Amino acid sequence: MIPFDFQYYRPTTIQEVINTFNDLDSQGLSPIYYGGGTEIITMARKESLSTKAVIDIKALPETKVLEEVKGELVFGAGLSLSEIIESNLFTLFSKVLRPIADHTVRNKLTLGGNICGRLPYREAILPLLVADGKVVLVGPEGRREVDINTVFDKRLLLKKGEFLLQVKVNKSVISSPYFNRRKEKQTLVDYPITNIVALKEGGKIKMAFSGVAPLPFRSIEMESFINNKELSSEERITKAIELMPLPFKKDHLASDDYRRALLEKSMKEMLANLEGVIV
Amino acid sequence: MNDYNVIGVSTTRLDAKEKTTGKQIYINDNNPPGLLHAALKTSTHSHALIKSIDISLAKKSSGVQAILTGEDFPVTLGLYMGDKPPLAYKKVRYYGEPVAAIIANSEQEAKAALSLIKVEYEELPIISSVRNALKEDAPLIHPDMSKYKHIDAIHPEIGKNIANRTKIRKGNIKEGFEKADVIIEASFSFPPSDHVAMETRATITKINPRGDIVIKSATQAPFIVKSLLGYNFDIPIGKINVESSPIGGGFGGKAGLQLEALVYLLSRAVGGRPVKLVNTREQDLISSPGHIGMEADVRLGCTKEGNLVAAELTYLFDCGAYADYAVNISRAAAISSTGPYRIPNVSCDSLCVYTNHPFATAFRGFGHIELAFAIERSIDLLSEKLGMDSMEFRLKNAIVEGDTAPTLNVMDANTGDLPECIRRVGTMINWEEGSKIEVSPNKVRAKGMGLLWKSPAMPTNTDAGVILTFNEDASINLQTGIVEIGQGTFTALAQIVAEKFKIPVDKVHVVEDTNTKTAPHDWATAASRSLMMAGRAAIEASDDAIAQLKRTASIPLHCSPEDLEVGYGRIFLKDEPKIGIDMEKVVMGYVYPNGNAIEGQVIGRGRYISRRLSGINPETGEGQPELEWTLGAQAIEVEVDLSDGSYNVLQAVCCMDVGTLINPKLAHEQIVGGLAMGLSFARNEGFLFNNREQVINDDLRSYKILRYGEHPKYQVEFLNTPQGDGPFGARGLGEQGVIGMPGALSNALSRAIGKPLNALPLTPESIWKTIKEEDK
Amino acid sequence: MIAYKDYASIELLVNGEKRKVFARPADTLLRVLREKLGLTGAKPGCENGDCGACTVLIDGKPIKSCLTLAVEVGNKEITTIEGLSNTEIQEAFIEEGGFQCGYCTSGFLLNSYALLETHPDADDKTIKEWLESNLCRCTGYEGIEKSIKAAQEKIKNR
Repeated sequence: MIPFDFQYYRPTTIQEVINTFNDLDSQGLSPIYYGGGTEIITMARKESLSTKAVIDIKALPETKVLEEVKGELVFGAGLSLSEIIESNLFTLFSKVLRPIADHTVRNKLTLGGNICGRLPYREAILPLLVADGKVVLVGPEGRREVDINTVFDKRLLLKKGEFLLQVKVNKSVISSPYFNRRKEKQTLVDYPITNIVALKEGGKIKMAFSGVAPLPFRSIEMESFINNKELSSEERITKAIELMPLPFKKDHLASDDYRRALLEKSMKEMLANLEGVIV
Repeated sequence: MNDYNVIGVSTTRLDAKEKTTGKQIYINDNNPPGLLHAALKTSTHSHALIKSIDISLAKKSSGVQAILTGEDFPVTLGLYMGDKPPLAYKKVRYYGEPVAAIIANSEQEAKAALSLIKVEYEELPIISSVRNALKEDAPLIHPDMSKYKHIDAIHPEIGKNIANRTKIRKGNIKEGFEKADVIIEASFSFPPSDHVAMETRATITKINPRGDIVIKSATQAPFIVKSLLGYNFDIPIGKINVESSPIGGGFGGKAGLQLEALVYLLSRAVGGRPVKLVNTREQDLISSPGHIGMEADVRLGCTKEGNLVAAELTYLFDCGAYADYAVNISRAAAISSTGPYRIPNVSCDSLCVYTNHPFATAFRGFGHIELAFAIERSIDLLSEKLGMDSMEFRLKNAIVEGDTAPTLNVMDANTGDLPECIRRVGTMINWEEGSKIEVSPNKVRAKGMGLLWKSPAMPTNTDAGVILTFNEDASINLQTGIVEIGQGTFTALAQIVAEKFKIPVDKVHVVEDTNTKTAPHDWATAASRSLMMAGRAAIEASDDAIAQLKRTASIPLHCSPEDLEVGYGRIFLKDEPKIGIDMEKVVMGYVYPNGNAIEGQVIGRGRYISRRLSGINPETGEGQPELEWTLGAQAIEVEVDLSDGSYNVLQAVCCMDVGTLINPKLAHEQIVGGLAMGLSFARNEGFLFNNREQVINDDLRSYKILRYGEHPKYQVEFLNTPQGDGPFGARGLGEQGVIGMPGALSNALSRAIGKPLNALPLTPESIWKTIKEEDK
Repeated sequence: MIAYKDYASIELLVNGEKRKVFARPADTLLRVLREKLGLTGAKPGCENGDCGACTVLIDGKPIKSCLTLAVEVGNKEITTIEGLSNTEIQEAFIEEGGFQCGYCTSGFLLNSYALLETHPDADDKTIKEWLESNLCRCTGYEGIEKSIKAAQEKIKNR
């Protein structure tokens, strides 16, 4: 039971969305965009989020796009994780989305919600970061299509009133070797304590992480060490971890030491998997 | 069992259709006319003085009818010790304790007003563990303990944080250890946790104009609710009527007094209008009571031949802020303190200790799952130190008929065959293959065993009753005070009555909503005694009705009632079965062709009261508190990844001596459910506290229970040594499945990693840490 | 554009019937089904999306009705446990011990029903992927697992 009231809007065109946002914002209603709603509803019940209006973007046809267009795979932000997984357009994407929440929740939880929500995992972004994908953002100032790595720094850097419409990746990534290892405290239906997603392109490994630190990230510095084959495999891993842009997280799910141990183990498995290196 | 009609047959549960069509009505599904809704404001501190509560803003909020705080009810109540106010009064003693209640026209309005209540606290020193609570200079959580009323069977220690101490002094502990060639000492622990019944607690209460109090509650114990309300609020007990529908899981958490006292007070505050209070999941986990925590110190000794000679046991139970059932759980743990082992010299101090944790109530196993963890781990440690296979050690020391329990009670012919249970479990888990097998450099498969025993911990005069009435078609209505909590007792009771009358089970109609005004008295649906006790009452009620049927029938049949037999819907001559009369013609009195009627309807009455029970000596524990024992053995097989501590539970097996099986399928399902719950507890569960003793895993996203796919392959076997005084020879089995699992799991994992794991829950990280310590 | 500012009349298609209700935009589907339509088969076990006792089908797919606003599903087909009768999975739950207290049962049944309608031959991995969305505290999942397998057999012989 959500104890407070909010208004609900479901526009069907981008212009309607923008107008609705501007209108509600000018009334001081602090509108928020609503995808699957799974996070908004749970946080609203606990009153850890408050809003006076939600704008459901799932009726925008653009948010339901799931296809290949001119060599790019396009995923609408209003797609449920299940829809993306089942399409299997991008195997690594499906693989990373599959352990998020549970099967029933994934029927509701949307791509946009996972990336733009407040929960600090945002695992759906990881394959997009390593695939150097793009995001299509729409807001009062118009529409922009930008490289994801320029607008994602632990969170998607959205301007006021802006929302995620679509993500895109170059189709070529689907044939790139990849690696994904997600570890949980114990139960598989849980947030990750470490999640590493890696893609190998042009002989170079690209890596993105969730769960290991307070927020998800991709780090070019870490990649420069992991790809430095002059070092021993052990060193590549150790140095890469030393350069983590955020400290290891410690919380009720795991200590920082355990996260580090699992991450080291995952990275060894990654090298074994992508380079045939046995560490 | 060969001669029986429906005993030993897996008949379909009576509630099958309702529960598979969504039509079973639970308390929270009811919304009577005029209903008001309550919501609780809970404490954000684990120990603090309440400086002020400002309700002025909330009172003005839409739909709010009344707001009550501890100041409105400055009384303390309890099950065994009256230590708990209905709403925190002047101070809070745990995080999540209710401090105020709002009653409003709708649930939404009640909840919307909660955030408008402003509570000002002044923090007090926090007691975060039983060991801290027992320190000399520890602050007192209940400084007024001397003023609390309590039952005689518990022994609170004034001026300390000890709500009860139970002592066992069997044999001579000093001499016992002198005889020991091998001794181990170890400590064990687990945090408080929760039942997580899928239905959260819910209560609806109204007071009728004439003053009758009607309580509809998800309770396992309607008669306890009734008597405690009467006792604590000085209400003539006949004016209280408690109704319980089938409930969505109990596991002990809905026994005793739960929300009922508070909701009664709330209804009273709004002129008797019906008020409903349903726990949120968060409140069900932490505000309402959960599963007790424990720290235990064990010293155990055996001879070089492997015979146990002495056990010195200290059980420190973490009952949290209030005593509730915990004072009896710690007592039950003392009574059964050794587990099912023959130990001539025992010294046990079992303490119920207050801390600033959520408080504890009954939990499936009631003291036994807790003590069994400490004992079963100790047995493995001792047999390992001695150099004897742990299964062989268990076989050697398993308690059998003629041995004495810690209370000096002699185990009688109903004890069952524990050694055979152990052997069966050994076969099922393939113990011979080896209890530790390397699968690959980092993967190990290992096995662990745990024994169980349990006797119900209950008042010496615990009772049950059954009333049978008849319909014109000679079908039978069966009424008891038992509550359907998922265990299926109603089905088994219907089978017992059907057996007595040799009629199909569907001719027995069970009243499935329990109502204290119409049902015969029943202690509570707890302690695995419902089938045993109500089953006995059902037999007596059947015999009573049969005698009446015979008497009525003997008149038109012109014979002595002694010549008659009842069965198959008829009353007939024993030696000439063709001569008889249909039951239909007798159940409402016999009517002659000319219209004259005789005798009247048949009403069968059956009662059962526990026999020959007594309290225990406060200094030695000697006495007769145990009604009947159920014993068994369990084992687990795990596969562990030594590189990160993660593991899968491959198998969970159990052999239990349950006497006669009334319904084998239901019995199997109860045991499997118990195995899963014990496994879930040992593997996953426990509250996590921050440094202010706030629970940080207060929802089911962070408090994990066993899920589909994590469950092992189960194997269950039964032995059938009859319970002499049980209905058709049956004994209790509802709780027992949980008991040996924590020991079995920790034994298997300890064996896998070659290091003792003596604390629960057994998370991969805790195992990884233990493995790493070894490397240092 | 659909816009609900306050309590509004919304039309839902539940178990094949059009039903009109008056609800707040912030009301979850679970609450509306239970409190406005009397369909109490969907249970609140956590209202946090964790337990699955509130599972219903939306256009044939299981979703958690506690994580859904009623206003979101106005144009979709909603199936609750009251909309299932005499299905193979219901029979199997009775025969194989798929329930005890019954509180999680509606959710498990609807999820299992959708699973078997979508993947009648679901293997253990798929069954696990779907059913780990629901929690049961009574059965240890053995009876539920047996029920799924038995229902698969029954469906083969439809």
